[in-house]
Amino acid sequence: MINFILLISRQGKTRLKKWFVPCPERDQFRTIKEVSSLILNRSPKVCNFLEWRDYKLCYKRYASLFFIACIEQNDNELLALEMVHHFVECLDRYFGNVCELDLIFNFHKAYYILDEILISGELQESSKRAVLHHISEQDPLI
Amino acid sequence: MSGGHLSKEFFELVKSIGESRSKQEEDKIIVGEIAILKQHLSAPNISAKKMKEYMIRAVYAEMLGHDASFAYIHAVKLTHEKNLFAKRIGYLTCNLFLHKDHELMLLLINTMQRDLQSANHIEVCSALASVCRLVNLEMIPAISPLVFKLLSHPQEAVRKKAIVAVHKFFKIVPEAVLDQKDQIRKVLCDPDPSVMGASLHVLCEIAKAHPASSKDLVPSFVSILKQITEHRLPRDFDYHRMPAPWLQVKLLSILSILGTADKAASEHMYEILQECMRRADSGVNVGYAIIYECVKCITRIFPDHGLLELAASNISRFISSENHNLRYLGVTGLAQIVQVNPAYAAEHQMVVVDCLEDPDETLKRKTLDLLFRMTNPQNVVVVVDKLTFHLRTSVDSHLRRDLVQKITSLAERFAPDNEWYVNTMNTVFELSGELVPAETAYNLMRLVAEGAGEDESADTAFRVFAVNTYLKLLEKPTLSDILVQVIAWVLGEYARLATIDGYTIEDIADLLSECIERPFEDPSTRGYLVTALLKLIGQHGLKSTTAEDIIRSYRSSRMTDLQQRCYEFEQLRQSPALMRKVLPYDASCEDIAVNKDLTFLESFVRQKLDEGAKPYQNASERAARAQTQNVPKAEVETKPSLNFMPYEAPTKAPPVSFPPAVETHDAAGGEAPVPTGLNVSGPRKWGPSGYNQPGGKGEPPQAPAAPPQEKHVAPDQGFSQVQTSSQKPVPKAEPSGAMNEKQRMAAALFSGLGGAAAASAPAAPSVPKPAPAVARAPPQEKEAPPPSAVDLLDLDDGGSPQIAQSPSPQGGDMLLLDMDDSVLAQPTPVPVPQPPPQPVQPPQPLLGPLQVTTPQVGAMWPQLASERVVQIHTSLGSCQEMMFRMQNAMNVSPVEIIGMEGIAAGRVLPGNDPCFLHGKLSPPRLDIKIRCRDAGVAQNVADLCQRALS
Repeated sequence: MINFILLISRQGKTRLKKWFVPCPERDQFRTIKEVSSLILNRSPKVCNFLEWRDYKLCYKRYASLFFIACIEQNDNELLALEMVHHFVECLDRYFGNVCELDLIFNFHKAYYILDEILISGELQESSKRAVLHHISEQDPLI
Repeated sequence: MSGGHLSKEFFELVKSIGESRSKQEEDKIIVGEIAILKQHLSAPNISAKKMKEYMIRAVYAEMLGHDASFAYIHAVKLTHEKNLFAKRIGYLTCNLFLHKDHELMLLLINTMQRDLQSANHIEVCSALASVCRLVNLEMIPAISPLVFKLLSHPQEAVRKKAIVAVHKFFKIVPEAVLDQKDQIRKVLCDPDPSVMGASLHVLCEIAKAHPASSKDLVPSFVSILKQITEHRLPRDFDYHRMPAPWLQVKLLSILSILGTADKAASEHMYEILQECMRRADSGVNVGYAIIYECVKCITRIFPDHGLLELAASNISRFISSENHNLRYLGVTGLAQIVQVNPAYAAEHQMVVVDCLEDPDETLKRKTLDLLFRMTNPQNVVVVVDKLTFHLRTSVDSHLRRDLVQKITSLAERFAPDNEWYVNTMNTVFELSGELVPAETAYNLMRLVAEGAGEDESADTAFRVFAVNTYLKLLEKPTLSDILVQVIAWVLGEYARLATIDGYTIEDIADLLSECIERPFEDPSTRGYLVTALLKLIGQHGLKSTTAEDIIRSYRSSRMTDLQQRCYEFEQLRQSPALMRKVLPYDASCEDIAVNKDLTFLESFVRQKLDEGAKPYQNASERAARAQTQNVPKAEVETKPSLNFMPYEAPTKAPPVSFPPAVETHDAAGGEAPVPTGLNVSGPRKWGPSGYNQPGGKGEPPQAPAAPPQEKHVAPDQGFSQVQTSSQKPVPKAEPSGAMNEKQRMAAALFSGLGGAAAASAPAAPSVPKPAPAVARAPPQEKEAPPPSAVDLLDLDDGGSPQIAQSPSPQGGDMLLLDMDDSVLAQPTPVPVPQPPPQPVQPPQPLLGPLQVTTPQVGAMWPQLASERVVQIHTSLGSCQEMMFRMQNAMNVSPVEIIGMEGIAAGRVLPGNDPCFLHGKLSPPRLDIKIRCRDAGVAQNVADLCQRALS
């Protein structure tokens, strides 16, 4: 399962964080710092996975944002990357050419979309249409 | 930019944060913002719309690392609202703010219960999302009946979230969920595929916990997987034209759990696995993810020849791909295949060596893991060298711990001889002693004490070697605690065996007493040193005033253990005869005769009994009595509730059952309860706290005891025939130096992988032939393939790697996102230059001269991985003479002479790899330190030094 998802800008600013396991705020903050320095320092020519403590980090850069997923030892790394990609595609469909500013000003919507895709750390909806349908159904409420 | 719904205030806030130049500036803004929010929130009658914005702003503040706990209560209040809009905001913010043990959870339970029963499915969904995130042990009884009812809700979104909530329950209290197993299984047949998919997660957990009770589901899982791969699901579930990849992967991982070591279940899966791999191979990333999962599954279930072939051929495509991610998967996948059959690794030796030198840290680690798994008695030296090198250079504590564990395990399993084992362990102790478990050190001490047990003279020679090694180590200024403990023990027991000139027992005692003053992390280390001194003094009747002073000064130590040792010393010193008896030489393996019945206590016991004490009962009698008294033990223990019963009278034995086995007394010391008198059989060991039983637990290190067949064959084979003149000239690879180096490394690493010669000869055209050494190596069978092994060794390699077909039609709708994955290439076999036909050449000198300066040597020295230290009894008198000899006999160029030390540099032929020699002359002793990239070369240079400089 996915332990947490992070969106970090190239300057190291957090754009979105979501933990799927209980984790005190202080540790989250420390983790973000540690993980972002690890990932921002990686050269673009290496693979998108890295081992971190007892977990694996799968990350991918989309424009100026790093999308990071932390998964467990036995999980499929490539699939986690695809999950991230799926999330990005959903964001893209929803916002129409999503950019970092969309996420800055509508970060709560990004959370809603993430909630539709992932529940308790597992992918729940692989249909983009269904995700967008649910979101648009709730849109008037947001 | 869509910010229209935001208020001006919030818009400005976000903007100013975006423009802030430093973290301090950002903090200042947020602190101001929090003050404003507090003020706003304390006002009465806030409209829902305003409230929503305040909450979002609080989330924002918390996201930037500030405490927004003042807003929590408002978030909880929002969930109580009738207004759906406010309620949703309330749940969302609660999810973000609270955690399962937060005190405000009490206020949330009632609302959740009400909302789970609501007629509006959006309310139900919001509540369920919160349940998934926040549920805790106390809430489950109140919530779970409602959630189970929702499993048959008409809305599929509700059913889906409900089953996820059940998954969450299972993680907290499995029993509560297992009672409702039938209901969960019904969800697997849900008409909506996404609900079915959601149920897989909980079923996977259940299968992991209770594989036997889930076996009957195998046909269902197989048929679901079949339907998915045949594209029977609605198009909605496609992802890059792959039907429901997440469901496929989840199903595969469940199958791999259920098929482990179960032939009947595995046979159901073979067909679908093959089909699944075939269909997934469409050239998109997600397809590769599925193939990788299939490979994982195939290596875990009962093995099937054809499938393993298929898995191996897919992995070989991955591993030779240009795409880093696929290469990573390839190396990881290979590590798993190797566990079933090591022969498959031989095909990829060059790629593996490449990966080992890749700048990518992740890939390197995975490759080390692969090497670890394919280690055998023949390549152990090279593999351990590689691991040690990474241990030396790495700073990541997780990696280091992992490496230490791997090296120790390999050294104990495969050590070619005892000396190598001791040296390897010393390096590990030195590099990261704090990470080594104490048993490892005990194993080493036991090896020194007991030897291989076959040949007494060999054992003694080994002890001499160990003593000399440790004596030299003791001169180093900083040593890890565990190393000092080992040194202290070995020197304390066997100091008299030391054969290094200039070290008498007195010197050793002085060294040890100097050592006591060093700073230590583990306080028991000093205890070891004091005991070692005690033994030296006791065995040799030594009169060392320094040692005695030191011992006296530690009488006032705060460590009671240390204190006691010092006082014991004082007492023992009074009677040297007794001291010699208490601290005998080389008796650590002798049994001590002990009166097991403790008859000397008889009179004492009788006296106590007469005074009215209760007679002693042993463990079994106590247990029997506890049962007859019929105390509901289990209940008392398991329930975490308050105990209102009075405690039992102290006369009765506590219901804690002592382990019936007597041998629990482990090597760490005497803390374990000893039920029936002292257990004193077995060899005696000196440890930090007096003598310990080696007990039944830690087995003696088997490796050193293993037959010393093939000593050192592996590392030397590859090189010795290339350069030593005594052997007949063999055809040898001679393209570019670097390549040659790699091939040698490959040959050394992959020696002993049974299928090596056979597999690589006819197989992939892209893979160069292994170095002649391997081909010539006797076709030795490696250890038996893992547990459920069928005979897989006779696989002839038919499947040459096939090449993926069409380019991927990926990312069509993602034009404006700069996706950075242009290298989403197919895995294609990397063309590796084929070595040209090799002429037979006469043997060549090992080294050639290299012109460098001392600073250059200094700069390059640490980059060279392998170091050998040789000590030579030499006839050379001066440093000039030494340099002259080196220049002539070893063909290296002198760099500098500093006093009695000299530096020389050479390059390893053929090629330009540097090899440095540092000689320190103190006639008649000469210490040479050799540094070069390759361990095998270093060994050969060391041999050469022995011959040339003695």
